[in-house]
Amino acid sequence: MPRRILIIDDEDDIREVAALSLETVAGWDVMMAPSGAAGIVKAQEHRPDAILLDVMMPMMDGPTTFRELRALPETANIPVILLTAKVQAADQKRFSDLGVSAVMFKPFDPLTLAGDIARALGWTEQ
Amino acid sequence: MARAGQEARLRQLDRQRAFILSSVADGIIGVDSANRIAFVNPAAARLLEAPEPELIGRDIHEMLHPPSVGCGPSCATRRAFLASEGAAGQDVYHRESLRSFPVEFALMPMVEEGEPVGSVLSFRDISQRYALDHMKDEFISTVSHELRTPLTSIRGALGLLSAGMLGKVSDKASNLLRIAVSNSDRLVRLINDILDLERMQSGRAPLTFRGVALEDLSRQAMEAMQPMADAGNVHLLCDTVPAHVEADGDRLLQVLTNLLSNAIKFSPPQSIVRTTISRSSDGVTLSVIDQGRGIPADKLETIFDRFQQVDASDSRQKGGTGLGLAICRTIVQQHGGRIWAEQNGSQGSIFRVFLPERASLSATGEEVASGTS
Repeated sequence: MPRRILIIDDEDDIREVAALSLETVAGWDVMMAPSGAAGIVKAQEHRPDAILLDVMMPMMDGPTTFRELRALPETANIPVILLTAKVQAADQKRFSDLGVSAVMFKPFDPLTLAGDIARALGWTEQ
Repeated sequence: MARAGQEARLRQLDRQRAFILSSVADGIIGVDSANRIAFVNPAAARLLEAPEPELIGRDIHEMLHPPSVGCGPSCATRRAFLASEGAAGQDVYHRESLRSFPVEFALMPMVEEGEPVGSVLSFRDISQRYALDHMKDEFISTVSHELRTPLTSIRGALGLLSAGMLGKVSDKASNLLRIAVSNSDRLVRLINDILDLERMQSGRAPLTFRGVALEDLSRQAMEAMQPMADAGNVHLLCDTVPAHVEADGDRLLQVLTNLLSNAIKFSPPQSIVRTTISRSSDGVTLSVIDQGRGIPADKLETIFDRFQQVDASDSRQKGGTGLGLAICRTIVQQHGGRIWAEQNGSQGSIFRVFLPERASLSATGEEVASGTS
């Protein structure tokens, strides 16, 4: 069974490239959502194995979305990885304090993204 | 008649003194030998938000750092007042309302015939400056994010194409894609370096000093650079002695790997890059010696400036950002040290870093309790 990942990012191009990377390199199934609100709905419906979550989004940012996901019983146990362009030390501390499973940085290497996610979540892939 | 003239003169001087003190924008407080406030100028009263009569006679340190706030047993300000010492720097003062504000201050003890008779404190509110710094931080953070976002799509798309993940590509196309990927990575490094340098130079990335074993750091740097050396068929040699310095280990490692990376980049195959450490009475000197094509004498100083390369073609061929040495210099200077380059005879360069054994007092950073982590 291929892994099922939900990507939540307001940037269309980044969603598309990240999805393509996970599909072609690892053969995973990828769902996408352009906002925190849409992402929460998708996560409740489809229960992905993991969520790749952007930080800087209008209306509902990454950390807020994460807290909402944690508060809902259907999504509370889905591991979340922040994928962010905010790379400064102060930001990093703030993010890891949230309680996400990992924080990854943009730009990412499309050839290693799936492997990095698997390693961060302790998945043993073939 | 003479006395009337003298009195008139005295009154005039007194008026002039009062006029000068009341027109100065900085707060000025005169303190007697018992550290009680004897005089405040209008600016001081305004900054402290208390009328002058309420301030006269109060203990100066208790006024500025009220006991309810608690400034700690090692308060530099209290120490300066108690010891009748001169002092200058930044501090935080409190008003009656207990609202605090950041200040820049200078304290001058007054001595008459060898006896301390009080001191004069001048200070100014620097909240504006802090607000500006905060704005600059926000700007830097935003710029970094904005530049990285489109680069993410570019890097992602090119990486997939280049690896043939979306279908076979011709050799020529593959080469072009490789160039595109490599330059995207270079752009990311450039963004990182610009922001790194900016933050360090504006003091927003303070160093954390602790005891560091320089020889271990050298070994770490060499291990990190071994793959790059192997790829270029360059031999790395370590000729170090144990040396202990007070330093920010991460930042020093950044310097060492940068110097090694440069040395390897500019070294021909089969040549040697040597790292040495030597101790002197006041500190430690680390040297990275290569047998590459060297640096002309007139460029030995300018290469540490931003975006300076020896040859115009360097940046394109070697993938550098042009900021590595500027960053090294900033880090070394913040350690109270020195960094410089020499010619290695007729073949190659020597980069030397001198670090004082104890972190210099003028270094920007916080001192952490000594001892290996």
